[in-house]
Amino acid sequence: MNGSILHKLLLNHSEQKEFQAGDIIPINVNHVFISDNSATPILDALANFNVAKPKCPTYLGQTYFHYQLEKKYAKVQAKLIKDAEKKNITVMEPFQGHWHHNLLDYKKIKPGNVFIGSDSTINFFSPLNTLSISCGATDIIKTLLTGKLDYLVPQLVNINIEGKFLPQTNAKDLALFLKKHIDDYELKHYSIEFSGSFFEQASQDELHNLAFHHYALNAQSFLFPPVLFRKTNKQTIYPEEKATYNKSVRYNVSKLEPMVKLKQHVYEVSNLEHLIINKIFIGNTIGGTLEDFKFISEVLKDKKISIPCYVTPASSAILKEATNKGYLANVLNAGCTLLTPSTGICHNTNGVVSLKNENILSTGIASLSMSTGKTKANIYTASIKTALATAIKGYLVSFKELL
Amino acid sequence: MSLELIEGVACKVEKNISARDIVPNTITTSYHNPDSIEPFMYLIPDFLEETFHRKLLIAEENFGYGSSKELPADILKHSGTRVIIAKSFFTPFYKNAFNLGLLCIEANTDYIESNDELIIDIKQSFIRNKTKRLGIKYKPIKKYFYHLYLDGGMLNQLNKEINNG
Repeated sequence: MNGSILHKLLLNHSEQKEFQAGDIIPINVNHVFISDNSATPILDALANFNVAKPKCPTYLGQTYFHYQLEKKYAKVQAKLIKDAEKKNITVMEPFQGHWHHNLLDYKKIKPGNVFIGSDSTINFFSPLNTLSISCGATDIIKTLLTGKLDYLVPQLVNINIEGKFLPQTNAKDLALFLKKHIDDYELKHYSIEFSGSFFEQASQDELHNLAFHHYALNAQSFLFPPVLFRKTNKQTIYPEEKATYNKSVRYNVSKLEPMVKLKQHVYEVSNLEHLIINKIFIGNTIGGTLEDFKFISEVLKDKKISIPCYVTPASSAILKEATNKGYLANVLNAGCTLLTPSTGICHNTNGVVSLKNENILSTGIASLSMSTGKTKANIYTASIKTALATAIKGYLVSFKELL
Repeated sequence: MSLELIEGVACKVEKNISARDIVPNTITTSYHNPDSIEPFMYLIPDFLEETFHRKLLIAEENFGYGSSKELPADILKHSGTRVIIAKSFFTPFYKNAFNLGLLCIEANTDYIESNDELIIDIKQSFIRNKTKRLGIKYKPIKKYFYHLYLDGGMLNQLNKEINNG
């Protein structure tokens, strides 16, 4: 992995200068995120170890709506906030939507940083040219005590992406396409480092959309070139021209077809076209950004949906901005139902119930959508473009049908 | 109870076991005690009853995929599982399990079925299937993880380090 972004990042954060895939090396961590759902054992451990302040800046985020039906909800949340404040942990403002977009607004995570957290979607921050790692509670505790994470060095796959999306595809289709081909790599314990001209013109939303899918691709982390900082003088990290990887593959997205996923199987939408869909969920984190709301508004202008379509903004700030810009009128006039910014869809705690044998189409990550473990509905995932076309037509269809 | 020579009866689970198959996302450490949660509550509702005497969990590829949460490993440990043998593990699950002192072994599980009696010799990296009268050699566990297992997990290691100054 010499000369890669990952290699350079690890050299910057470790005293160990020689390492290879499979080694465990201590790396310095810049920021830590703690999700409320796993915060109790972490904060208890800090108290047991008599830690006055964690070794790295730490943020407590509240994934409210996940657990609001729990009897102990209010008591647990109050205790978490009190314990976190005692330990000088920044308590993120509650009830503002999903934590990713809120923490992004804090502008604390910088290029070249190592960012870890007790949440499976920490990789959302990888487009900021960071190494972002999801960890279990014990790894978090050790990092808060020592400032270092015992990092298991992965194999590194370089995926070079060229070309531009067709009007009917976006980053979700690319993620599902890669999911379909990932088993061909025959690798265990790997991260993916992206390169190629595609990233030069990709929007920040598209990069975050792709980044959300690292676990769907079984990758530990994604590494992105610093394309979001091309006009600034940040501490960005580029790969060397002669960087080496355990595996390198190239794809061109110019002819990519819209994709749809059911469980672990990925299909081209054209293969399942006209499949009856009963409900559609757009958002929260994928499909719920301001850019998404602008797009939804443009697509739904003077149109009506044929099946129930629930739209969730990713954060309160996005909802406010979408309202101010007038994006919501077309969404509501088309017949969509607006849900409050939250992750409620994941846990059926927002009042929308999935029924047995229903076909549900979601723009979310497969592993999160309806992850209560007991839903008997068929959860399909696809891009916001496919979701909107399907909402209008009433059956699974490519966005090409609307063009 | 020897830490390096483990004897028990196998309980084999189906393919493609995700972290959420072990424990749904709605259950978390801030609200639930791992002692009181049954693993595989929707997938194998009678898991604890079925595996009461079978402490060796046998699986296929990418065991525990899809989440970085520690709770799935924690619940399996609390359920009495002594070792998980799988063809491969999702890395965060593997790391979390060892962080809690739960042993994971990567080995070919094609020749192990439920109710087979096994002896696992960690020092020799060898599984003896007494029922089928065959042996399975596996790649030794990395020292880092082996010590986590012997020490009973990372927090025990940290405690030791602090107590030893």
